[in-house]
Amino acid sequence: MTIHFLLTPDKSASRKVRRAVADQGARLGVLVGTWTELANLAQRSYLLPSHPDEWTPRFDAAITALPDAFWQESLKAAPTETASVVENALVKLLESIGTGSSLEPASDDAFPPRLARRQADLARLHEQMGFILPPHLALIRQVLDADATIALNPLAVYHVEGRPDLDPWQRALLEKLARECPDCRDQGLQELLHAALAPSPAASPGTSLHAIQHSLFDPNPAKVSLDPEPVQWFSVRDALEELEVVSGMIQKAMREDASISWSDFALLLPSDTLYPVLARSVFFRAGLPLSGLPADAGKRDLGREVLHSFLACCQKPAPRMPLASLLTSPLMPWSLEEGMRLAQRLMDGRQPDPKEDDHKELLRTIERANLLHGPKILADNLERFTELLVRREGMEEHYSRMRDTAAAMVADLKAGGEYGPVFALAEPERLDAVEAAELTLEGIAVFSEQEEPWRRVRRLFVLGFNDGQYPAPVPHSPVFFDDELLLLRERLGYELRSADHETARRRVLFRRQLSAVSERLVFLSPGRDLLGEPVAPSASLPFMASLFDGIDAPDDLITSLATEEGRSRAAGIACAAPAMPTPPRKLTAIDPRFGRDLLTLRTDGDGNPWPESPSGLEKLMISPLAWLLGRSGLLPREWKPESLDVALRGTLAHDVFENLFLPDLPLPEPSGIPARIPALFADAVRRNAPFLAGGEWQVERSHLEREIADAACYWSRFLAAVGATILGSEVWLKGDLDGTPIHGSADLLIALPGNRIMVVDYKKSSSNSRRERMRKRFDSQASLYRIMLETGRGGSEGHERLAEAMTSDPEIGVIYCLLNDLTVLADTDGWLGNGLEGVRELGGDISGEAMKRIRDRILEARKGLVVLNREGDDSWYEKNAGIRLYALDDSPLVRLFMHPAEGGEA
Amino acid sequence: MPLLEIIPAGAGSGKTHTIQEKLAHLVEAHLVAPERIVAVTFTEAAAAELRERIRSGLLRKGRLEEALRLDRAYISTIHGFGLRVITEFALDAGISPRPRLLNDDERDTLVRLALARSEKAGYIKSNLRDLGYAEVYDVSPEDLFRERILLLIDKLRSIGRERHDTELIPHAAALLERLYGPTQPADHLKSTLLTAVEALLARFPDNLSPGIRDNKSAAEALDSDFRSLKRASFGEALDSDWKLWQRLRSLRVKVQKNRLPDGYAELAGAVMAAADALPRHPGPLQQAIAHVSQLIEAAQDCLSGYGADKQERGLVDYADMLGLCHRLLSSGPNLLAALRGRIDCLVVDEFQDTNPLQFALLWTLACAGVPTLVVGDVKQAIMGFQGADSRLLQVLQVLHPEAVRPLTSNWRSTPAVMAWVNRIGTAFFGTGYQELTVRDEARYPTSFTPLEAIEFPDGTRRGSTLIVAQHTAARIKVLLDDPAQMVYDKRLKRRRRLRGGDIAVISPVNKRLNNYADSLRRLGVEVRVEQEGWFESRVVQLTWHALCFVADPGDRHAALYLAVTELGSLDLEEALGRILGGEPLDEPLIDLLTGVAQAFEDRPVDLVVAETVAALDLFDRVAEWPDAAQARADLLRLLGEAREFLSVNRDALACAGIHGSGLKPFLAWLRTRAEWENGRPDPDLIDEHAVRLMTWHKAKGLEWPVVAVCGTDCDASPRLPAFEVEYLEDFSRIDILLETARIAIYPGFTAPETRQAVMGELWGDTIGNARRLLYVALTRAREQVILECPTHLDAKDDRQKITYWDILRNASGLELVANKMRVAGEEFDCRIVRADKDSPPEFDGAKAPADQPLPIIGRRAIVPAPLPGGLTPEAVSPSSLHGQAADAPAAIRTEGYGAPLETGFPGLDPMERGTMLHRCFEVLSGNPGRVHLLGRATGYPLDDSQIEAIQRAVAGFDAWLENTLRPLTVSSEVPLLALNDAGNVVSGTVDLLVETVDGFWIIDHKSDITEDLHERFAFYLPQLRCYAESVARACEDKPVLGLVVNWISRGKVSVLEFG
Ligand code: SF4
Repeated sequence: MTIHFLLTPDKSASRKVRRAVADQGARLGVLVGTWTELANLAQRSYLLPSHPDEWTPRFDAAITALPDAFWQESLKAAPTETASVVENALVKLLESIGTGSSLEPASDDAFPPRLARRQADLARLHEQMGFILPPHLALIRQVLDADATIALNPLAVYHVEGRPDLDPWQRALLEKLARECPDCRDQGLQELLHAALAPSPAASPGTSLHAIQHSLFDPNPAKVSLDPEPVQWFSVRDALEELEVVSGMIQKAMREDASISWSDFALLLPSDTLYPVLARSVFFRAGLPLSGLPADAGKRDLGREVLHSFLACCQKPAPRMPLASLLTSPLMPWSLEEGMRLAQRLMDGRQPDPKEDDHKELLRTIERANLLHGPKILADNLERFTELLVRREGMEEHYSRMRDTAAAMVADLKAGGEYGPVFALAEPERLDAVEAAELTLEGIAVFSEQEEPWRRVRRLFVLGFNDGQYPAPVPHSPVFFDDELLLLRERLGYELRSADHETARRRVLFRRQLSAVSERLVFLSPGRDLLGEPVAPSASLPFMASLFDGIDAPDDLITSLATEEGRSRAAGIACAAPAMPTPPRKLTAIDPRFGRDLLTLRTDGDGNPWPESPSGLEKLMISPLAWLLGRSGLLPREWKPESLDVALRGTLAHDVFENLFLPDLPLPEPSGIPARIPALFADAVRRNAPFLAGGEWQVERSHLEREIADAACYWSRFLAAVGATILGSEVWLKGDLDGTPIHGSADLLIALPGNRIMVVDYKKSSSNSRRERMRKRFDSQASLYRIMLETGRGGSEGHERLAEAMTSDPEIGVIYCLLNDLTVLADTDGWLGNGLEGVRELGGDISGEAMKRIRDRILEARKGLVVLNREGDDSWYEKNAGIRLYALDDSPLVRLFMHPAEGGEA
Repeated sequence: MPLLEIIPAGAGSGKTHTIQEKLAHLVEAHLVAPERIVAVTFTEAAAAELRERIRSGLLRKGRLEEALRLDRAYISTIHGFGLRVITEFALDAGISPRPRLLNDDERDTLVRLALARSEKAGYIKSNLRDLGYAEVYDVSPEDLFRERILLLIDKLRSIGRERHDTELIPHAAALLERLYGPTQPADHLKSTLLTAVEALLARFPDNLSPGIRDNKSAAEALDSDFRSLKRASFGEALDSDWKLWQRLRSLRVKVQKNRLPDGYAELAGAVMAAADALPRHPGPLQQAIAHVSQLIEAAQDCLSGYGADKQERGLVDYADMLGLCHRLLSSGPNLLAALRGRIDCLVVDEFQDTNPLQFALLWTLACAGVPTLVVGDVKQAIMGFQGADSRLLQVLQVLHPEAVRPLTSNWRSTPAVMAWVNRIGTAFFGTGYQELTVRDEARYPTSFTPLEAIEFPDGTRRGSTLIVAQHTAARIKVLLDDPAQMVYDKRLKRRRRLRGGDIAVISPVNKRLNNYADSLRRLGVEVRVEQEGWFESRVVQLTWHALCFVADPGDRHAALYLAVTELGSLDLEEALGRILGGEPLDEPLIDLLTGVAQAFEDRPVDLVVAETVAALDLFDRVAEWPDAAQARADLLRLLGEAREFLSVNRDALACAGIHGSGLKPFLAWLRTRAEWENGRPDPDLIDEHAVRLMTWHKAKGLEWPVVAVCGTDCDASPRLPAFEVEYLEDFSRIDILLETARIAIYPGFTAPETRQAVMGELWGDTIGNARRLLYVALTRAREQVILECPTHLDAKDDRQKITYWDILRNASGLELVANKMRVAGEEFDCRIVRADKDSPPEFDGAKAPADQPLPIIGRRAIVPAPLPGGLTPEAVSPSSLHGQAADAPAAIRTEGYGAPLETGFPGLDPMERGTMLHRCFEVLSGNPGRVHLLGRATGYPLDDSQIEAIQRAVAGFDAWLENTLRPLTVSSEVPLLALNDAGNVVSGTVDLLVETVDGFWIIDHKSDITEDLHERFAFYLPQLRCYAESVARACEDKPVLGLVVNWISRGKVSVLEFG
């Protein structure tokens, strides 16, 4: 039986033609489809084998084999990009020369040198490839060479000139088919196809709408006057508003006109994946069914992403986040919840602690992969790693993609492949959605900018009518200029299509899309993109303006819906009743009472309340809510990129000091300190922040190292000058504050001559605010350590020197060493002498105010009361206590639930 | 067309119009082909406008063909032009044909790495604090240092200095030496100071501060003096700590009510006298030279390292777009000629904003013979902070006087305003000012006094800038409330009442604008101003926490947050109580989000964000809020950011410390991004009722009927350190401009005298800049200028800084007298409002800004409705109907025609096996002779035994067919296309269509390996029935007799004969 094949430019056109044919009555032996479908059909019909793709490997080999070709320099600089550009150009040339001849260096001396060289190089490239054809041309070649007698069915193909445009190969194929079945064409089908693909404008002649459909982009349009309603141009703020306005207009039209139904409307959407997503939600709300909305889904490439993260974990130094990402992948052998827990631990700076053995093994594998390098080792690690991943239900596709990619990578690595290309294999891509668009008879038709319209409608809305759309610009070729293409065409007969040609095609398509509407056409241009940046209207607007009498500038066409005047002119827009806003639920600050002892919220193994630390008590003083959230594990769980913040600077300095100033050893000599710092600092970095070892942090490292060295010299000079002996460094102390257990680790304990002990706290900051705080008696930290010393017994375990010193009932003082401006602040009077710069003894109570408040807070907390902060607390504390309230930012809830400032509005 | 034409175009003189007209004319006269126009400007928006205007210009002349060809012209920003040239010529230049623009994070990382590799800046790196790199807010000293290196790199690139140039350092050092002046030997100065310090400490070894009572500041001062003296006494610090020297220059020697010990004042005086030698000390100079040299060296080092890295990664930055382009064109005659051959004319708009490199690039084209049209206005050159150099336009005009054709008319301002502008212009720029005459277009009736002055004769209480703003705001409110204030509407071409949108309030600095915004809002006037705080806005915070929860349903903080805030239903005590008690939260919102979380595993971030927003109905909820439009815009930006995140290259993300494409990494990215880019998007496209607030800079190119020029009392003094470009010679050789360019660095010094000397050098430029900025600000109005006049400043001469007001007054002699403003001796009508020191009465008492009504179009106009169900699909394919409920009819009869096909086909899964066997039947059935083609038709390497088995099966089937149905014709793979009763398009393919004398049979091959053929038949029945219906419609002359399934694997057929 003869197959009648109606060729169409795209799927959307096929849809339209199919309906047109079916409308005329059922048919056997009629197929409608695009070129690809026709080529496949021919291949099947002629029983042609599908050959393995030789083109790619041969191309890859040949492109490097011509050392003097014009692309070589670029190829070195950017291999993939250059190869793809050259391949494109070669394919275009091959398509353009047709079936008869082969690509040969042109002998035409009149070509400008650049063009001559490029043409010749590409010809040589093809020769180097053994004149092999790219798969789609090779297929045509096969069909052309095939013996007619073996064809399963004769094929009659129907085609409307220019829709689609055919290259010489494609034409040759059609000619062959026609030759082999000379009398089997059905003129009716040809006419049907023509009517469907080249429709006349749907509007009546003489109207503004017809002018656009008939004359847009025409060289000499007859001007008509612009009727206010049939064609309108609206400007709105953004894409969402476009869709909102359109759905309102459709609803309004249907309310007001019983004869109109959903299927009388169509939307023309630009090729931006944003529109389907927004359209779906807006039209869902409006209860308006859409027909033909592209599926928006798209998927993450989880399979490759796992490998990509794994490779990032192998870097040295490895940042934390790729491992965290890895831990939360659905391909991991644990639940997502567990993955999140592990990842959060990691991002908070702690070791992930998987419970099960094989889970531990997985982490160890990743760790090991970071230690040792080399292609073979990496291949092994990759294999071991992928074996531990799981194929979970619903994730099969990702799992197999992961397996396949990993296998390819391992093979390449084992074959001595270079890292770059091997890693590139793991580059994730956005995976396409498989779901097809839903198409219904009743729904509002959705047309896409790059496709033929597939239905006639009464009203059409063109969305995203912006610069860069309608039509979209055609990219320039980096190989041939347009005028060079023209020369090749003129002199060598290559049927090359210029960018101009393509632009013209897109314009015609646009006009055809606009021709599908019979009554009303509305263009909508958003003035801003999603981020709020301005965007201009489409470049087609001036062409539209030139169609109408009395329109001076394109702007005159546009009705802005943002102005009252504009809204009054706009026909058919839906308006809501005027209304004043309704504020959302108001948040009120009422001190919560929990009716339970909040200090016992957290207990140790034996059910005893977990001791408070000095910093915890300070937080309790400043903000009970922040304290409570912290204590009950209710702080924000965020991932943050690692960076050198103030806290980390402090940690590193502490770490160095801890290992530099040790008990039982003589004090380090100031002159010897600078030489020791680099090693100590490097250790500190390794322990606390491996990422800092990366090159990009070198300036920070060298500066910080220098600062720490200066501070250490100063501190060492100070210790020597006051005759201090070190009793202990990082000493874990326990004690109690009026019955509330407290604990913490003191940075340093020193003994001074005359039965005196000092608790030392290092601070990576400057002295000003600390001094203020001490003066205003708001400094609780070091004093709490003193209380621990005084009340605790177990604290001196393992610190015999300290225990011994404590037996003689020493005087205890506290001292701050401020590392940023080399200052020492103490609460003592006359203990430290006058010999050193930067030493201040404040002599007296530094903690009274703070301790009083802390005690009050503890009482409140025991009763279950949480007193919320008050607006203005920050400035009060800063002014009266010298304390910056960082704790207020522990959670955004703290600031949201504040009492109004004293004297402020109620 | 002339080879060079320079069009100086004053404010409002219609330069875009001029360009449009000229080009349209040239095209019409066939002197220029539209696709061969190159027109560049400096912002995307300006480029878009230029494109549109040129296109419209052609269309208006009826040149449609040409307007179409304009698509291919190079009309873009200058960077866009550079990028296009380097991509079009990429293969000639040996660079990537698809370069990727690096983002800020990548740039930052690459510079960090380059800096790490450079050994040149060792001294700076380890002495950051001493060299004045101190923490400012969140910026660390290291960042500050890198910022400076980056700035210098930009300067170097703006003069095309990509490679090391040994000339730069000597030049910079010589400048410093000249500015610093003579020095004295350091040793001597130090020993004098040290001796004096020692003498003082010997006599007064203790801190005097504890002895001071009741005078805190004196006690502090003495304490700090003591510390300084002590530090100085160790000697070492005096070799490098210039701040210490400076401190020693002003010791406290008098304390009210308390007496300092005798002799202290004398000894301290000696110290101060010795320390006063600081400006003559060679130390600071040497330090500055070392610092500056290392900066330059490190910057040059970084530049080359950074360049190499970029090249390796196939990246370009904005400067490369021009730098590479310039290098390409100057590398040899071929490329230049090739490009020249593609260009008919070059138009440069806003030429005053070119930097030296851009100038050199454009000039290369002009010198290659491209006819060039230069449009610009030196008086409006205010982009110097971005490296623009207006001297270039100036010198071009001087060197080519014959090419200069200034525009002389003005389309913007009314005659009265224009007269005043002309007077000011002449006062500012002397003969360099071209007076503009008002075009008829601007001669419309106006009801405004052209000038209003808000005068502050006494300043404000404690110099409050808020009070200044309140007075101006109060005046604006009066204007808006006055029905007699009519403006001319250019669009409607008639007068109408003044609205907020007709007024702009402009100030030199952003910070001041908040004062005006607050004040106007308190008076109930709507304003539009760029606002920070996007990330902190309520709707973003709520969505952020919702996303935190969706990403990690174990995030109890997020759950708590959502439950107790606007969208939730619990209060803090309830929610916290439940969590502390281990109870479930029981919050509907959380259930909704849990639903989103469960569905998202492999959904990309942009969709998850959209789904979260949809699940919470956020757009609908915020549509009712008091700041509905802003909240909506904020939320939309969040959707946009999700897309943005996905579009950022992974390497670039890694540079920002972000790894992975899930929701958590997105949230981490978003927070860091918000730290840099926290502006709230404009809530509307146009808000005709809102007064527009912006800086003088931003106001350039814009106009309003009424403009309030505010913040004239802002400081206009130069700032140190400053980085400038200088040229060795005069400009007579602009063709080698870049070679003669040098970098001058003006560092800060500790000694005020030295600072003054350095600043003195910059003074001239500063005043020039300020005048140009003022000119821009004062020329924005069509009908009225409101000017803040801080006349109280006039009295004080001893001020260290200079304000815009000083500069305006000094140049123009501006004076306010009675109802006149006198400028350069000429008097202009002016309404003068005298403001006093305090807030105007309108601001008594606290008033919350009034709510604005909700928008009436858009989302609120949608009537919510459920989506209808049960719609008819556009098309059905019969094979999609499998399994649709159908009972197996009893009448099916199954018969065998051969042995089951038991041969295996290794490597094929059941689907592939089915397809293969199907194909075999298609090829072989009825055509046994085609057996040799089986292999190529199936693409499967069939061996002899397999072929034999298939052959046997097909033969058995064929025999059954022949004997049982007695066909007239048998067609395989018959497409069918029909409409069914429901109106669906049915399209499918019948495996075998058999025509007999009595009718048609429809046969389908199935490869199922199953026992229960009856049940399987029922499964396939809807498909087969669908075929039958369509065939029946297509061939009405004969009936369809029945359906047959050929069970290939079983060697059986099932037949359903219609009765
Ligand atoms: S600001 Fe407006 S009127 Fe002035 S030159 Fe530019 S486009 Fe023309």
